[in-house]
Amino acid sequence: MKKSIAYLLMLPGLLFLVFFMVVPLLFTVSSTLVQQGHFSFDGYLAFFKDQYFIEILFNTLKVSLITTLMCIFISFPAAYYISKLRTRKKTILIGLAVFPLLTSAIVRSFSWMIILGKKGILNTLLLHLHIINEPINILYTPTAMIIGLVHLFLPLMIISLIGVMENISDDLVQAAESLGASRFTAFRKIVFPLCIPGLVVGSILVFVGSLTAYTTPALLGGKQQVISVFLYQNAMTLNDWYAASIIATIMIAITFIVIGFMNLAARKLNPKG
Amino acid sequence: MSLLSLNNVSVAYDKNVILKDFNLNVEKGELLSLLGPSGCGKTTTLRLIAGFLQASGGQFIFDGKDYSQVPINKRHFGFVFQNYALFPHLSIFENVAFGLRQRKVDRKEIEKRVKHMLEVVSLSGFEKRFPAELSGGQRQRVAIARALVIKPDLLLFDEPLSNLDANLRVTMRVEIRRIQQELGITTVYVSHDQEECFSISDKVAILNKGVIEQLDQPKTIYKYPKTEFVARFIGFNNFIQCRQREEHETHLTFFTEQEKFEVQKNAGTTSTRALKLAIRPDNIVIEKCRTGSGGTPGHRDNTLTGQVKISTFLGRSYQYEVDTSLGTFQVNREMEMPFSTGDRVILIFPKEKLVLVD
Amino acid sequence: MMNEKDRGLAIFTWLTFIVLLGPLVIIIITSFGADSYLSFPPKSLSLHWYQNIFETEGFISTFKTSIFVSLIGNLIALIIGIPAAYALSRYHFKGKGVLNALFISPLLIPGIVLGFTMLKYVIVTYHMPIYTGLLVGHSIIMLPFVIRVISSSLSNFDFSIEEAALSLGAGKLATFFKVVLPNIRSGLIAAILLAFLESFNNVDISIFITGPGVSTLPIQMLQYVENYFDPTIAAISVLLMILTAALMFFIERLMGFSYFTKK
Repeated sequence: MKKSIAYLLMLPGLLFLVFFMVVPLLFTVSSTLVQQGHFSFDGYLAFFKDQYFIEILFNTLKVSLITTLMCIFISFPAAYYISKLRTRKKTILIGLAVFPLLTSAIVRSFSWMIILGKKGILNTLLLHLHIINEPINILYTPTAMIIGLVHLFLPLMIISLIGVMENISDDLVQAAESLGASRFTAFRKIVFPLCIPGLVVGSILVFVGSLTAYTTPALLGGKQQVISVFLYQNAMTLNDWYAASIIATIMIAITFIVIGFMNLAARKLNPKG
Repeated sequence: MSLLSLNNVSVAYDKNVILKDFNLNVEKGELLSLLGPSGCGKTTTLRLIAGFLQASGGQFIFDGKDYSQVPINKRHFGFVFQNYALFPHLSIFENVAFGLRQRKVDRKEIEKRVKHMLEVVSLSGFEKRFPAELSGGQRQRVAIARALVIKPDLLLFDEPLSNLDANLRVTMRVEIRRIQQELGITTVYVSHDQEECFSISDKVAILNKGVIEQLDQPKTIYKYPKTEFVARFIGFNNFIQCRQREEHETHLTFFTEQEKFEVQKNAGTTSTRALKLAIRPDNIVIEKCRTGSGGTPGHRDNTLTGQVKISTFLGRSYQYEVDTSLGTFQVNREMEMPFSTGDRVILIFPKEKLVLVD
Repeated sequence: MMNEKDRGLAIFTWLTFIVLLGPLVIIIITSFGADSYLSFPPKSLSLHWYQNIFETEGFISTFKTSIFVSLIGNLIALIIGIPAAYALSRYHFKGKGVLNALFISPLLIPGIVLGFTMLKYVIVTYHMPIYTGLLVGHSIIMLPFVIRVISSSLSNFDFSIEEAALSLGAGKLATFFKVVLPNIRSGLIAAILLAFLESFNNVDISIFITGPGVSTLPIQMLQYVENYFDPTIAAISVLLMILTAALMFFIERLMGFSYFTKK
C-alpha cells in the first residue's frame, strides 16, 4: 500500500523523463548500431579509423586532463585555507567562489576574449612592458580553451574540496603534531588522504565538465575542435545526424567510463572512507 | 622543583581573556586533574601545555627548560582527545604506530612496541581494524595506546571519558589510573565530572573563571573546601554568612544577627579568617518542632527553626527546602517520618560538620 | 589558528580569487567604455552599450523567451519533482537506487548530447512545437536540481511531525501542504533559484532547439559574439551578473553558502 503511493508519486516525473529523455537517448544509441536494417558496428569502425576524429577525441581528453590537474593544483591550497577560516570570512569567500559558478559560461568566456584577444588586455600589457614586440596569439588556441575551462570549473573543485576539508577536525592535525609529525607531514599523511573523496568528486565534475563543455571551447578554442563542438557541427552545420548520433553515443560512453573509473580509483586509494 | 610549571601565564581569544596570570605546578609522577565547569579555562590550560595554542604572556617551564616556544611536535607529550581524534583512514596498528614512525623507530621495534601497547590496553588482535569498526570504549583505548606508545614525558587527557556511557566510564577510569601508575607517567587530566577526578587523581585543581580556587588532594577538597565556589561545586549547598567570630581552644564561635554557631577546629579552619559557614544537605539534622505551632522554642546554639516549603521524594531519601530566618536551607533525610509542606521544623547544624569557606 | 606559515597560503588564496573574479571586474569596466571595440581600460566612459541592448533586435525578445521558459519550465520541474523527491526520501522501496540515479541523470549526461537527442526526437519525431520543446528540455535539466535540493531538505526533516499532524486529524494532502512544505520552504526556494539560473544560462539544450523567431538570450548572445566584438555583450553580462548576485543573496539567506560545500 505504502509502496504503491511511492511509485504513484514518482510516476509523472518518471513518464516525463522516459518519454522525453530515456527513449530519445535509447533510439539515438540504437540508430547508430543499425545500418540498412541490420546490426552493424561499421559506423564506429569508420570513426575510429578516421585520423581527424581521433585527433579531436585525443585533443579533448588532453584539454580535460590538463584542466583537471590545474584545477586540483590551484584549488588545494585555496580550499585548505578557506576551510580553516572562521564563519564570516569563510562565508564571503565561498560566496565569491560560487558567484562565478552561477554566472553564465558565455559571460565568463567572453571576459577571456577581452583579456586574451590580439588587442586584448594581456597583449597590451605585455607590449607596454616591452616583454613582447608583437601581439601574441593566445585566443583561439588550446591554451585559451584551457584557461577558460580552468576558470569555469575552478569553483567546483574548490567547493568540493572545502566540503571534505571542513569535516577534517583540527584535532586530527593536532594529534599528528603531538605525536611528532611536522605540519607538512601532518598534511601529507592525514589531511591529504582524507581529502580523496572530495578530490574524486571534484575531479569527476571538472573532467566530465571539460570533456562535454560546449560554450567555452566554441568561444575560445577557435578552429581547435573538441568533441562537443564536433557533435554540434555534424548535427547542425553538416546535417549528418548519423555521425552526430555516433559522437553522442561515444560521449555518453566516455562519460560513464570516466565516472566508473574514478570511483574505482577512489575505492582503491581510500579503502576505509 | 616541579616537573611542570606555568608561571603567570595569560591566554586570550580575540578579546576574551581566558587565563590571566595563571600559575600551576605539577610534580613528577603524579596525576593532577583540572576540574571545573565549562568555560573555566581547564581545557585552555591543557591545550597550552600541549602547545596547541600560544600564551600571550608568562612562562611554561618543563623539566627545567623553557618550553614556551617549543613546537608541538618537539614536545614529546602524549595527548588524548575528547573525541579520540583517531585517524579514520589508518588501521589501529598504523594509528598507534604513527608517533613511532615520526621518530624513525626501526620497523621491528615498532611492531614490538605497538603489539605490547595494544596488549596493555587489551586490544590485541585489533591491529587490522579501522577506527570506524570499533566501539567508543575501544577507540578510547586506542587513543590512549597511541599517546602512550611514544613513552611521552607527559600525558595529557582532555575529557577522555565524556563520550562514553556511565558503566564504561567507571571501567575506563580505573584502567587509566592503573596504566598511569604502572608506567609512572606524569599526567594532567581535564574533566568536568568530579567523581571521575576525585577517584583517579593524586591532586585536583578546581578552576573557576581562569583561576585555581583550590589545589589539594581529593580527600582534602571533599572534606574542607576552601571557597564558596568549591563548596558549591562539591555539594555544600547551604551557606551561613556570619558577622563576627571568636576563637577558642577547641572550637570557633560565629555570630549572625541573632544566632550563634560553634564550629569544631579542623584542618580547614586553621589558616582562614573567613566568616562564611557551609554544610552539606545530608549533614543537617531535621526535627519536628516540639513546642507546637507559633511559639519560639527554647533557643540552642547551632539550631534554626523554620518551615518546610517544598518536599521532594528522591528515592532513597527526601529532600526538603526549609525557610528560616537565615534563608532557605536544603536538607536531605532518610525516608522514615516524612515531613509535609508547611510543617514547623528545627534544623540542627552539628559543629563537626560545619566548614569555613571564603 | 593562523600563523606566519599560513600567510603563504593566504596570499595564494587571494591570488586565486583575483584570477577568478578579475575577469568579471574587467567585463564590468569595459561595459562602460565609449569605444566601439573592446578596449581596456576604456578611454572614455558611456552608457551607450546599455542603450544598445534595448535597441538591438533580438535581445529583448529572447530575454522574454528565456524568462518564460525558465519560469514555466521551473514550474513543471517542481510539479513533477516535488512528489518524486518526497517519495524518494520518505519511502523505502525496490529500485530506489536506480530511480534516484535516473532522476539525477540529466546532470550526468552531456548537455550537448541531451540537446541533440531532444532535437532529433522531441522536435522532429514527436513533432512538438519549438517553444514546447524548449520548455520540455529546460524542465528536464531543472529536475535534478529540484530533486536534489528538496531531497536534502527532506533528509533533515523529522517525519514524526508529519505523523503528529496526521494523528491530529489532518489528511495526507493537507499534512503535506501545511506541515511538510512549510518546513522545507527555504530548501524549496533555493531549489527554484538554482534551477532558474541553470536554465536561464543554458546553452547546450537551447542551441539545438531554436527556430524562426524562437531563441533564448544566451543563444542570441553567442550569435552576437560571433558577428560583433563590441561592449554590448559586456553590458548584458553586467545585467546578468546583477541578476545572479541578487538570486545568490536570497540563496545565502535561505540556505547559507555552506549548502554548496555539503552536496
